[in-house]
Amino acid sequence: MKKFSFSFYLGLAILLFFLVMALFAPRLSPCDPYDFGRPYLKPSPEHLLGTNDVGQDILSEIIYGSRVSLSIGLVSALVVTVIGASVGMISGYYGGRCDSILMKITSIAMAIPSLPMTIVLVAYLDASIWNLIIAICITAWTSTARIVRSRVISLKEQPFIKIEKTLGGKTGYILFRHILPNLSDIVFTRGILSVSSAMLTEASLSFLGLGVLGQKSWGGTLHYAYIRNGLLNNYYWWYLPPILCISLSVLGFMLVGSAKPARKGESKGC
Amino acid sequence: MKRSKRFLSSLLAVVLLAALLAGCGGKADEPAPAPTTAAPATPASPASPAPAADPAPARGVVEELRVGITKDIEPRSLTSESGSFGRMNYNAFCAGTLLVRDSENQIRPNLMTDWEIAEDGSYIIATFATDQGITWHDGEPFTIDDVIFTIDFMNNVLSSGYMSKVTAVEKLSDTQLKLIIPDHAAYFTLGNSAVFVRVYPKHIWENIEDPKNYVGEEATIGCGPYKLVNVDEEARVMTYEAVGDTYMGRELTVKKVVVRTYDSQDALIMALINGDVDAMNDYSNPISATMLDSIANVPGLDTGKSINQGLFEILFGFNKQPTDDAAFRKAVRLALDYELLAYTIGGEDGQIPGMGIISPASVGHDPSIGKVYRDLDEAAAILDGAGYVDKDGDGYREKPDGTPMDVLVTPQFNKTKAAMYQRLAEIIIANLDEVGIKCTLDEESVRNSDHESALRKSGEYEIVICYSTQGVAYYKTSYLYMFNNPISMWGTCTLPEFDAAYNDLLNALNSEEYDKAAYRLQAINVEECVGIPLAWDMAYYPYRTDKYEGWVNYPGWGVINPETWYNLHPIG
Amino acid sequence: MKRIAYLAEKLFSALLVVFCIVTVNFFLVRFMPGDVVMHIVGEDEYLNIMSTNPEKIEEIRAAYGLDADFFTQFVRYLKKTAALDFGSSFRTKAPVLDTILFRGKWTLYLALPTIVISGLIGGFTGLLCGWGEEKWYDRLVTRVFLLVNTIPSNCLAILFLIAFAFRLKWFPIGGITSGGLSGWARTADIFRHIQLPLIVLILYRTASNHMLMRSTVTQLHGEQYIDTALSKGLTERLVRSRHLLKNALSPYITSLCMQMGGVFAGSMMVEVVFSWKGMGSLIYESVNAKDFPMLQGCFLLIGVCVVAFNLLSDVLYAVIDPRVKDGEHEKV
Repeated sequence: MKKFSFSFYLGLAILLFFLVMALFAPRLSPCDPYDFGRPYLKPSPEHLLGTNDVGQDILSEIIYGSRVSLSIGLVSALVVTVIGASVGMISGYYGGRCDSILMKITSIAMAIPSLPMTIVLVAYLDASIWNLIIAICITAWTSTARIVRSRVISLKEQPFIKIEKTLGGKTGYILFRHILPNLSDIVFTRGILSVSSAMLTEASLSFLGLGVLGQKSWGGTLHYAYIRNGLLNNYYWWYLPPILCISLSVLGFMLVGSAKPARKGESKGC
Repeated sequence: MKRSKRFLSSLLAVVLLAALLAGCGGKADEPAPAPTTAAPATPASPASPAPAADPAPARGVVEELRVGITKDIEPRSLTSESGSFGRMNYNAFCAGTLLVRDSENQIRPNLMTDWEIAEDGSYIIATFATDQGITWHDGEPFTIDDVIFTIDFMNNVLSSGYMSKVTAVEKLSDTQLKLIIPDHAAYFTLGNSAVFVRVYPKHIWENIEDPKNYVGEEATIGCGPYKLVNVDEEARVMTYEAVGDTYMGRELTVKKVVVRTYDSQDALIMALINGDVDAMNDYSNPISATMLDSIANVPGLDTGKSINQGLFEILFGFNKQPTDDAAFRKAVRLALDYELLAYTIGGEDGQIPGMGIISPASVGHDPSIGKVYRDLDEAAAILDGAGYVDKDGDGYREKPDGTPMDVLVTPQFNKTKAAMYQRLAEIIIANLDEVGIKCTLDEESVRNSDHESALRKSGEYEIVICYSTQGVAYYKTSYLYMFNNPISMWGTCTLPEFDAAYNDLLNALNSEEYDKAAYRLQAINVEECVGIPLAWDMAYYPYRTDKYEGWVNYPGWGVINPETWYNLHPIG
Repeated sequence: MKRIAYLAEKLFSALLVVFCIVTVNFFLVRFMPGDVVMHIVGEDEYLNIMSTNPEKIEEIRAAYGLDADFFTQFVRYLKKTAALDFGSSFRTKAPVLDTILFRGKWTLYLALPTIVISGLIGGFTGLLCGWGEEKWYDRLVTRVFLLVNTIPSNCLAILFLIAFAFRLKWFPIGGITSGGLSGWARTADIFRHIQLPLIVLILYRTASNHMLMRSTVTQLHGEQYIDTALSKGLTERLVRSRHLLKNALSPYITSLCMQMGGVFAGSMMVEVVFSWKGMGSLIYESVNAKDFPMLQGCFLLIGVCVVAFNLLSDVLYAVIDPRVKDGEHEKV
């Protein structure tokens, strides 16, 4: 059993906090975030964070927002990691022509500017959560693929894999039984980091007004605070909470993802 | 090792050099788009009907007036009304307009110095300032041929609507034209075109192949009191200078006008608060009442409050079910939460509007008509009675024929007010949901102006949230948007009595006829619910009061208007 | 000789990637829903023509060669691209190339100082903290930079804008320059305007550069040759300046070089918030206006830039790092 550092547990605590928030949103939030009321109320016992420009309770908006923001982050990260890891494994293991074709595709995908491309895709596909996820994933898998590939190449040269190969072990068996377990740490790390980068991308998209309309997400709350004069009028109870939530949850993922067991020398820079 | 160091240092040197060059390389001044030969217009005719020249010439002149705008510096052409250049020209600025408006919204002469309307409205005898020595900014004289060319150019090349009622032009003399208007809409034509119709220099535009897309430097040559002398693409600033000390006999008290483009009203307001600009110009886009908090107590800043004639309203598509059904429309009118709508649109000043739409600020308002109100039971009863009942038990009503009903709610596309439109749509959809009407937001139109304009052109919309601009609300009234005619942007209303009443409004020869038609339209709307106003509100066009005085705040228009150039003086 | 072969291969694959990007660009417009003519003239103009003069659509189609078969179209497209002819924007009517060069220049003014300054600072702090891993200054600096990395750049940009430009009035609010100035006054004014966006960008870049350098150094720290060097009796300072610097710098410089490739797209959010009229805000505006010709031009430029600098970093790698023997060598 590995011993983890303090920062790992801190990250885990943060994530748990937001997870609980997302799961129990209807129970936790004081109001229905879609209910209209008196607009632009300042914080009061009734509305702890005041109300937004159409009188919706900001606290409830933030609580419900955790659902969209987290789920987009997690699902995108899952997709990105699966695609990236598969490409990396296949490319690294088979080598040769297969490798060079896959790596060409990877370098093309890397040459496409990711944020602008995502914005273009979101703008042209109808904005829905799924299209948002697709757009985020389409350029984000490349670095995972590259890292996994280089790890697989070095693993391939390990004696135990070589022996397995000469003994005529099935490719699929070797890949899943021997290579994948040895990749688990970097795949995990990359996966967790992908969550945070997907969440940051989602926040940027929603901020630009390209998120899903009418859906409560942190980026969306910030978008309205920005565009409906929350910043100009300095309603900090409106624009700070979403920023704080995004940053905190990203921090949580980063802490968990970059945490290494307390002993030294294991980390892989990427 | 050494190699890598050398490489690194040379790389850094190159990069630093480039960075340094960045600072110095900025193009300082673009060449002036127009040669600066324009002769000052010497007033030849003292009989100009414009208000008398300022009686106190001892007061100083404004050396540089700084105006903020949210429209882009492109395109720069007389043919465009959309950019910073186009919008500033609504103020009889660089382009010479035929007519202007005063602060009471009455038509006033400009380049068209006098006019006489035939008794039946079928023609206008118009006199133009072609004998006052006015020149185009390239030095060519402004002549009657330019006016004749302009009307033909607008109707046949630009397909613009302003002069479309004028079918023929007869030249009576070097200053007079007879404009033939067969369908008697002379009064309407003048009212409709005031401020907006600018004169085009014949010698430039007759030779241009694709005038709509032409953006050469000559495209900015007008004959108004100011000429464009500099465009700073980096700063997104356009600089204009007065063509002389006077224009058409009146002293120009503002010598130079600098118009700076901002990305958003927020940025513009920040600049105004910090004193970077003196006033703002944003046609039909007063700042949102929600910004008041930030400008209310700034010393030296006036909020520029005035009555707003423009208003948000709902239109119904008469080509689609169920919006072609008066019962359905009336139920919608009863379902909306007007208090929230009024507050969302106008803040503290927002008022629940009357069922007649036309606001008390506009001519033709019928004060006897009651306000819109919310009554969900009545709405439900009307829907039940008309056969809109929930047959399949999904919680939403079906159409009378039993097919499912899902009403598309399309907000008009507007970049600066996009969030407002979205919010209004959210409220309307939620309100209708409460009476069992299922609605869907037309997201494509929110994002894409082209999609929205396609829908507008085809008339295949259901519920549209649109803004009736100041210019439209003033004379044509908000009912223009429902009028099924090419001059309307949206109109699909097929009710014959509405059509007749609106035609009468357009062809009214005097204010009594106009009022009568306007009252009829309002009565029809109470009965048929062709459209629903969402709120009456105030307009805010803030401006600084610590440097200049003499501001005239046109209601719903702001302090940058056709009179600004002759009235402003430094304080003291 | 091996090195030349290595570089030749890299050059070849870079060209291949560029070709693929051009191809993707070609298909981007053709696979979007709707008539291609619509994407070329703009939807508004398209509908306008449709309602007034539908035959003109076919004329335009022929004029742009869109009636030809796919292959012919593709060849024609390649020729035009090679001649840097990207057509005109239908938002501003201006030629795409002119606009891109103008906007690109302003992004460069933002990006180059960012890369240089953050490269120096981030490299230095990373080196320092990596060497003194877990010392107090490492804990402090690394944590601060980690926090920076968790805030979306647009959020930080907004907060800075509100706090330092609007409230405290230390900096102007957005834009490139106030206008009406020339010569040195103008340069100074641009400098005043560039500071705040630059600070935000530098902060982010420095944070990631710091992390990169730090992790490289911590990794090298444990490696054998440093132990060997230590055992030879060299002082710690010397070890640091020789072996470690040498081995940590090469991946760092190649990574900086790769950052250069992303310059045109990297500052998008900051540009949007500060109304900095560079490539990033150009893309944003073009997306909003569905300005396809402009977007194609932007993507091509950005793509080529990324590929070119990746190639350059490969070259640098080959020059700096004597360990490069063949194409198999991997960058981290």
